[in-house]
Amino acid sequence: MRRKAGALLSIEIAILQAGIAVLRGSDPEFHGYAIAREIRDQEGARSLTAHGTLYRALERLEVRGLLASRWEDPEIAAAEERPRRRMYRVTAEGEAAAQAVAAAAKAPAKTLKRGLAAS
Amino acid sequence: MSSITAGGGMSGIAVVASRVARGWTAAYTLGLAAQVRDARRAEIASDVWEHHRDIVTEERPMWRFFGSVFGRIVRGAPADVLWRVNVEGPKMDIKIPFERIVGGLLLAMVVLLMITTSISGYDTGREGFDGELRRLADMSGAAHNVNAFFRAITGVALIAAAAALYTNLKDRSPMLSAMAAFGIAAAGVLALIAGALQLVFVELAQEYVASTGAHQEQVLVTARGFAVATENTVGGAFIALVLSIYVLAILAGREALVPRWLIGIPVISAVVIGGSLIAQAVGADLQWWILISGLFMSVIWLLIAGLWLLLSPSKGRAPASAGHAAAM
Repeated sequence: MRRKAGALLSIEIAILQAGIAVLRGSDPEFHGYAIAREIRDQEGARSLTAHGTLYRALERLEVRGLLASRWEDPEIAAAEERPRRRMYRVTAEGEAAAQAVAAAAKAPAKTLKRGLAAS
Repeated sequence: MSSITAGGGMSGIAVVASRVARGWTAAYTLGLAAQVRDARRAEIASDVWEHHRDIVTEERPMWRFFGSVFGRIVRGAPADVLWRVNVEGPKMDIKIPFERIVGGLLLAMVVLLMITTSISGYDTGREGFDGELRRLADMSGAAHNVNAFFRAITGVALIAAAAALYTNLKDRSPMLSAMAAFGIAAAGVLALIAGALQLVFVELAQEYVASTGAHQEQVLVTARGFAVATENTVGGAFIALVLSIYVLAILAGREALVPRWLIGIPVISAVVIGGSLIAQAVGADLQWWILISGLFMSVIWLLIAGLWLLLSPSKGRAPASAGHAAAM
């Protein structure tokens, strides 16, 4: 099934929500594995998001301007003796999109409550 | 990108997991623009490295790292392939000569045929069967899981090979390619069923060893039933594959994909197998060996035809049937 233009997939929503959670911490940036772990912890899942699914979703979000990315300074990676990380950050548009999704998810429940109170 | 490899600081099974991840990433990024290719490879290398560090920090067993990385690769493979297609977009034009594809598929079938039939070979006779059950029960759970995994992969791969062969050969002969594909796909389904039957058989073997008396006798009878069913299912898969090879041989000969004299091999194979059935009817001792020789010849055709198509220069020719049509 083809999704509606502009609609977010569940993995994309999960990335944005996890990214926003990271944003509230001391370092607003995250790398691919960190976000996979964050999603696993938030959803209480047993396994991490698959590589293909995760990095394809990250790329789609970046193309839509909901995420921004940069490759970290090679000297930092070399000093820590690890491969260089690609760091992502949720943009203002990404935050707005995640909030819109959260609001839309709450809306039917509110409508139902209003309906029940009126009856 | 980073000069530090994904395997840096890893050992044993972790290195294997890292190499599998790197190998798969290298495969699906092959031929892409250097910037896109290197970025994806570096990102996956970094992910695997961070994942490994997490496992080490949390002091979790390294086999969990292997399982997790392998699972993430397998589950993400369709998305990786779609990503590759999207990156190249309408420009994507991978030109693999038709002969190479069919040759590769024929050679893959040799391997799949060998794995499919290796499931068989139980001694279902009353005297020897106790030993077979004990042998199976003694095998580790990991060995059974690996075995079941290969069975499942083989079944799925046979079905995929059937689809790929049909797609590539249907322009040459829709009827023969459909017949061959049907036989190979049927063999794939039977291989999956045989794998499932064998898992039950293993469970029964473990129960047999753990039980005593009349219950043990009952388990023995049930287990033998499953062993016979497994053997016959594998036999069915093998027959379907051999018949498909005959159909492929006719198709390849008719379309001049391979030298026409090669058709002699499956013809002799069919005659030998027919001879083995006659030998069975008259109760000859060598019936089994005659049958195996006949089946072996069909595999030889697959091997020669596959290598021929893979190694001979590509002619890029149109289907022979199209030539006939144009001439009329």
